[in-house]
Amino acid sequence: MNKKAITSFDMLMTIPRLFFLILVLLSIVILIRSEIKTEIDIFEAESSLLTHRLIYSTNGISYYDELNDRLYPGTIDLDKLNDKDIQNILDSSIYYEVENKKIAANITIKDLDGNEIKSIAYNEIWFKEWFEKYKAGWSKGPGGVRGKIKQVYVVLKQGDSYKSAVLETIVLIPNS
Amino acid sequence: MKKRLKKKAAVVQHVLFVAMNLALVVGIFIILLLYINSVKENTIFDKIYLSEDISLLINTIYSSPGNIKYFYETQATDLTKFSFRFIDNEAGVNEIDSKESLRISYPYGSNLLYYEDFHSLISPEKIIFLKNNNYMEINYENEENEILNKLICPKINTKDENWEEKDKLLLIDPGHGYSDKEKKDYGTLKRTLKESIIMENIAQALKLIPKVEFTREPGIYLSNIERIEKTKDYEITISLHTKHKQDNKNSLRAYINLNTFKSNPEIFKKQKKIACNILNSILENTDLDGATIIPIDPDKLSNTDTRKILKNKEKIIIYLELDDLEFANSKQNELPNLIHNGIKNYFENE
Repeated sequence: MNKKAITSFDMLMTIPRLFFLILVLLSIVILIRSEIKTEIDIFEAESSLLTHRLIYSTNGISYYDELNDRLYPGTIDLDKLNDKDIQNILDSSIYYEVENKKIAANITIKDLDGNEIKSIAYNEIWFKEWFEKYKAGWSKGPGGVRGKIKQVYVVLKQGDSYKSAVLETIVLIPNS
Repeated sequence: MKKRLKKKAAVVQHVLFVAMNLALVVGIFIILLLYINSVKENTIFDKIYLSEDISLLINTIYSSPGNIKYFYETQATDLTKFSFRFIDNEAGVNEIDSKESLRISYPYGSNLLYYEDFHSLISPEKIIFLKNNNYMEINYENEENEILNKLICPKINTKDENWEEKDKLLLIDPGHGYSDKEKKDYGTLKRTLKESIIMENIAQALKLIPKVEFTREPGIYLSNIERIEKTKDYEITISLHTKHKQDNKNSLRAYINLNTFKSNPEIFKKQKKIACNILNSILENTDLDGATIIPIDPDKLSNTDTRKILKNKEKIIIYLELDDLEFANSKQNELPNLIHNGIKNYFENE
């Protein structure tokens, strides 16, 4: 074979080798980037915290004894729930923005037979809108809504009477 | 010769070819190293983590019913590399001197019923979260010792600029002393006597309040009935007592009449307010573990219970009880001033 041709052949073979090298380099970069996580899923913590805040905080629905300046966590004050201002109090004590598109919740109190006694919503407007999506099962991707349902046993206080009840909270958080 | 030259040229070409490949490999290696280094230096994940963690922490602190002081520090990243800002209900994190557009924020649920004092922080070693009654603060570490167990006093107007000049305003009851009968009945004479003397000393030191009067003189015994009778003539009665410490805690209690809560709400609030002011004054200046105001029904107490003095529903009466006799003994000089300050706050602040 012509020696010049051999040299040219070697030079030409460099091209696919370069191409292969670039491919390997890109693969390494893509593999590294794909394994780097920049999103943290805090849905469980956020939804639990909202439930806690609604039930156990000073401005929540638990009974607060003015006599002793003491909150009784887990004892739900039905008189407080029946107050016409309760919605405003809850919305003010957990305030994200004027139009809260971050999180919403619904609290339902049932007796031990499952009959509903009282139901109130936090961020009612958006709860109603998101609940439809949640019911339809649209929980993934942009526009989807994830929900968490939690039930706890509580003591229900109305006036001077107490009885056992079940408190169910549904917390909804949209994906986007 | 020509053949040799041609061979040499071929070798050189071959060597050049190998060198070129080596240079390419080294170049690729350096590029990869630089890329991995840029991934390592990238702070996006740290900023996301910190903004979400701090938002969750604010929500957690708001969800608790009590007072909290929390020191936030993390091993996951170096807080001093970042600046923190809390605006529009979002916890924002950015590198120091970085463009504002690179700030990463995450929303938290503010409480509009609280007074929020959230400072912007640059390179903090720790972040302090403080929730104290209706006040919430985020700041650097400070030297101030927050009194987390400070009581919230009721809002009722008790302002009176001439309180120190009024007759029959303030009655101090330095306990009931001890009778000869008690001297025989109780084997703890030494302790009872000591308690009596300490309370008398504290009470007498309250003479710094003009026109203050006392249920009894030092060394004199007074029965419950006699003391209750005396409270009728005075607007405010403060009864001072101490007791044997039950456990390792050292605390202070103020008893007030529960029955006034419904029958005389104004008196109830005033009792609570003066008790609150006195307890806070002592809490702020001593190392007590805590203080509580306890409403009790004096009608249900036995006749020998010294708290029976609270019986009168028309007057402001509080029963102060220190847990530890030794504490009262060691603070004999300070307690009168602290009680005086508490009473002063009651009359001089709205």
